[in-house]
Amino acid sequence: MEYSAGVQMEVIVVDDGSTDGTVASLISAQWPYRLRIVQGGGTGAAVARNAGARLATGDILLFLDDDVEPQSGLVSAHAAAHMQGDGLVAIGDLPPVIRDPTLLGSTLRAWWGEMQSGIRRPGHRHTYRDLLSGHFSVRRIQFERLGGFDERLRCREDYELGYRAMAAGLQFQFVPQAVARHHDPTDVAKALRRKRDEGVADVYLLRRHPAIAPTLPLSKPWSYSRRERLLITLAWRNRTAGDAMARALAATLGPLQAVKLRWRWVASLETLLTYHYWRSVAVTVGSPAALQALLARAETVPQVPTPIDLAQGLDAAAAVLDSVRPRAGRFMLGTELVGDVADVPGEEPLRGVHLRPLLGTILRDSYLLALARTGRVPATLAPAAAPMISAADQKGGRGATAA
Amino acid sequence: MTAIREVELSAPLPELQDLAGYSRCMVVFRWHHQIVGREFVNVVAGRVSLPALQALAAGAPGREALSRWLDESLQHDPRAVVGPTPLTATVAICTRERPDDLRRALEALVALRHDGHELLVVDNAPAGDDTRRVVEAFPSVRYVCEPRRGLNAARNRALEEARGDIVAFTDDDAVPEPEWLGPLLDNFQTPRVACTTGLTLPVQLDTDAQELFESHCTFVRGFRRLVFDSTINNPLAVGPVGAGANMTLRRNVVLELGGFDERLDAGMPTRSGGDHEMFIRLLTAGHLIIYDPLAVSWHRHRRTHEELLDTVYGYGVGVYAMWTGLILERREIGVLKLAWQWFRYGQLPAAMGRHGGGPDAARLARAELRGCVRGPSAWLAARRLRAGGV
Repeated sequence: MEYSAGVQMEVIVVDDGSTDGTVASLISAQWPYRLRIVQGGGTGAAVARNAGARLATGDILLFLDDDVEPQSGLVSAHAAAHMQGDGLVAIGDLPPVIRDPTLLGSTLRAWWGEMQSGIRRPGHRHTYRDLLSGHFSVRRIQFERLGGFDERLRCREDYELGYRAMAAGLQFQFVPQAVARHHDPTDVAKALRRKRDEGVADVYLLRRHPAIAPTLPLSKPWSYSRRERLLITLAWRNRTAGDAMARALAATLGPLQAVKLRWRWVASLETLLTYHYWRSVAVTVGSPAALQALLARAETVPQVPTPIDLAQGLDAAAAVLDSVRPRAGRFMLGTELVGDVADVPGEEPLRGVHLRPLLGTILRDSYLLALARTGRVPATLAPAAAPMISAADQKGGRGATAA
Repeated sequence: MTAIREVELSAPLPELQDLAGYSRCMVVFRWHHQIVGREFVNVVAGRVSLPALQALAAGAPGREALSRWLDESLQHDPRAVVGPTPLTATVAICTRERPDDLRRALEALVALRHDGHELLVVDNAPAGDDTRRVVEAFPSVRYVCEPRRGLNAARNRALEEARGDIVAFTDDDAVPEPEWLGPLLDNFQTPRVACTTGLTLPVQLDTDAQELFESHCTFVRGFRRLVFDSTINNPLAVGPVGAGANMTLRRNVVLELGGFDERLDAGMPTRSGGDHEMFIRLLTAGHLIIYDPLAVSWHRHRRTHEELLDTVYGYGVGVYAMWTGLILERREIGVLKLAWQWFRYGQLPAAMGRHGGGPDAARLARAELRGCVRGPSAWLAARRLRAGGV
């Protein structure tokens, strides 16, 4: 790891109660930077990170997990990002290193890849879930203002901090030059344990931030497959039967893997993960009625979308977004409705950089239709646009509404 | 004979004339130089009339052009990422005893527009030094001889020799357009992308055999960018992905997976299938493959019926040889279902002449079926050959 580039750096290792000689091995080695070691009591990552932050003397706090391998240029990339302003949450790249040749390995590669694909796209609308505690940085003063990590959480403490950072108006920014390769050898048992922790954490998140509800899986029990819904019912009503079914399902993973029935394998694994999540939600909340009561607190008046007229030109429309920063937008092309972009809890307000990617993706079809209807497509392509217009007219809907 | 003509959709459409002697015309539509579609149309009295051309242009090519125009006006590019990292590339041709084809291909490669890539020719088990002499005329092209016979052995040698992060393979009978490499590389900015394929069009359709190849074995996979993802698509069904004549790979990922299977493809009893086996291994490992029609290459199909039948027979051998390996070594029993579906709904009706195209098409389908029958034993033979150190 580079240690020059004009960045003054100290390193604080918080040892959260390990018993394998981790600390001794660190003390005996030579380091080219100031290294301090804090002993924790095995009370969880949130407590450990706060303890480290309290000791820190630098202006910028850069959090890294012990299973990441920082690549050259990481520290100076974070430092450079924070030069742009003091209200920044700088999110580093966390590419997974996967050596597992089994189905779990390829599934993890796909999951990680999907999870991280959004943040790489230009004009990504950041969400609180973009903050991963394995690799991010924030100015110490901002971290202290936020009150640090919530120490009652054993996992999802990063999401929770991200949610408060977003609410406080901090600007999230992806820093692609800061790369920490993530070594995370996992297995099915570990993944299931993790899901149980997430169930507990999500209930806590819901209690602390009711408005977060629509973004949590526990708010959408209907969104699952039939088999998953059955297991969710058992998680509430009959956990003995649910556990037995889960064990039977777990026993099918080996044989399915052996004959490479990968979709069935993935479906079985996902069902198991769902059950373990909901089982711990059920144990934590007690009853479906209690969960409903918690969810009911979340219901708020939907934001009235701010009208944005694209007929003034995209640059002008982007400038409006930058000055108004609406949470929801209604995009018009003159009198043609292009579509609505809704307010999503924990997502940043709309900015100018979001406009073109929105029009190029989720609003694409309706924007093209509106352009065609208002005679804005090139003359030589008008004949190709004509069937599109008449098909839309026949359907009766003029304009579309995006979710 | 089928003529090939290009039409630019950003300008008023012309009437296509000077087509005397042709019965059909393949019209390639472009929008600001990007190919957005191709359609076949009958030639009447030596020309394609303006209304006929307008009708074609208002269909799929026009819709695709609208889509490209929209991207253009929005400066929207699905390949774009925040803070792209510079990637280096090696363009490789694996060739064997086709000096004339190779010269044409190399002329295209030195005209490629992209800075910093290297050009590499792998000469596979040559009998003489014709290939080396052709390459010597191109000082910017590196020549490597791979004595072990087989296209996949040559591809592995190319991966080994390449200095680029990305290795773009093209065939000696293909001519990439100058803009070929850029869009292929842009796709690799997404870390999960391990492979891209491009649009391969016929450069001539002069003979029946070439027309037949294009109508039954075309390399064209459409004019929209496609993402292949094993969590969405069946990773064993890689026909729609493309082919090795226009294929680009992330070098370290392929090397980690052990490189190409040297028992497969040309030069081995298995005849083909090496590219598709690689696609399957990449997809099943959770990587993405992108088909990007912005990367255009023009392919010279074989001219005679004998060559065509032999090629198609070779495809049949390769598919079944590859599947044999997948079942025996990787327990991919999903192959059985694919094989049945292909036979029941594709090959059998085609061999019986029910898919149209007349007796020639049925003959082609039967040649492919004969190849399939040979496939499993070809795979076993290739395994013995490689085990014997060939």
